[in-house]
Amino acid sequence: MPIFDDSYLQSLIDEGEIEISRQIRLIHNRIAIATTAGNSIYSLPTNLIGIRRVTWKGNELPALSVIEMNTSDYFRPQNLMNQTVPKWFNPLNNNYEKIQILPVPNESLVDTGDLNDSEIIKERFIITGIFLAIPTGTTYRLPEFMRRNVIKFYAMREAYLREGKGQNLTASEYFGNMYSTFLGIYKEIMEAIPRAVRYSLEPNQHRKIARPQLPTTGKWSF
Amino acid sequence: MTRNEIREQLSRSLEDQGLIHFTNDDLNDSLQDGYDLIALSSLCVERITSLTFVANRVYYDFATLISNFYSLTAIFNTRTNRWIEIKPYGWLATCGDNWETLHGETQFAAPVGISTIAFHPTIQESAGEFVVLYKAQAPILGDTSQPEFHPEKHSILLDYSFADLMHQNLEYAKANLKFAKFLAELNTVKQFIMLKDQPARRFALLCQYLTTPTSSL
Repeated sequence: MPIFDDSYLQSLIDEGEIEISRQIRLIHNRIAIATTAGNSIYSLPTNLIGIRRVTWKGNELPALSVIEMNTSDYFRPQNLMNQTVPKWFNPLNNNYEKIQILPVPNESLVDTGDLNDSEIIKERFIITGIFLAIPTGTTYRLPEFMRRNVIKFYAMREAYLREGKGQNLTASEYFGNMYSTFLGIYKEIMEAIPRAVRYSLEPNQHRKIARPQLPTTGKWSF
Repeated sequence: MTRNEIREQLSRSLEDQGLIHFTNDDLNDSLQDGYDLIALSSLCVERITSLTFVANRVYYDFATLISNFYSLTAIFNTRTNRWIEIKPYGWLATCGDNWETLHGETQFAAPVGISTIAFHPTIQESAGEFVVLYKAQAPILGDTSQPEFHPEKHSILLDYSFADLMHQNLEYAKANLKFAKFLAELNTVKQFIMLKDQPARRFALLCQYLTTPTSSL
């Protein structure tokens, strides 16, 4: 008779995958959003946790800043609802639930097609963002090569911590430490990837850092 | 050392030569887990392959195109016989707000997340290839195959698996000791690979690949 039933462990595994994707922020994706002329506010996927780039028909929209609100002619009351080509985006709250694009778009765009193709990118409203894992799907998942290794420690830490049958605080502490260690290892590994400069492209580690002998009043006398 | 030899040593150190507590599969799975982690941390497994340019394609998903892809090292454009410069994704914005829609011979590439690589500029016809040097995930170890890092350091796998199997037996103190040893040794393996992995090697590896195309180095 197992201590923990499968469905409970599966719920911890799913929870662990979401938690790790929040900690390491490694799931990046690009999504297109369908727009309607005259509408400036759009809903975002619930698992979006960060925006890296927003483009309107291939042109990057910067995040709206206070300087632009103060200096741009667009932000005068008589101009606010003019429909034209969007120039800025504005996340409407801290949870990235909705996004506003300003000025109000004058065009309706669809959200279909291959977003890797520059000809499609020219005709879409696209957001490049960081997402949380969705363990029940296939698109937003932790990579296979790290998933099992880290999640098992998260799940075991939580399982042994549960009140009642099977509670084992020593085991929970051990797996908690292992989870932290592995999370640290993978964080380091994953954070190095987007830098794009791996060991083989970095300067030779054998070289010494330059330490020039600079003239000082004590050592040099003329 | 081959996996067979490592497994025998592991059984001895676990005082389980008769495979009573742990089966061969337990030991093999644990050794593979350790090898996976070492390969990811130290970047010891290196491969090379070539892919075809697709017209107007800005983003290539290397995880789909290369089955064991893990991390990018370098890309060589055979259309121009030039290395493609690898930049951070944010840097591409300095090429223009609309860099994704610009055409020309590809000069820059930038990783977006783990396996998607953005190319800039993009070519307008599907012609020519680019050679990708990359760090790969650990291959599956067979009984007679050897891990692809220095044989002197193969004992690190014993430390990992000992710790991994001990905690399954609820022997946390022993597992902790061995895991700490594993982490210390992992750093030395990383240092060793880092020192060996010099920029000039890219050129030699590319020459070798262009003469005799084979993915193993």
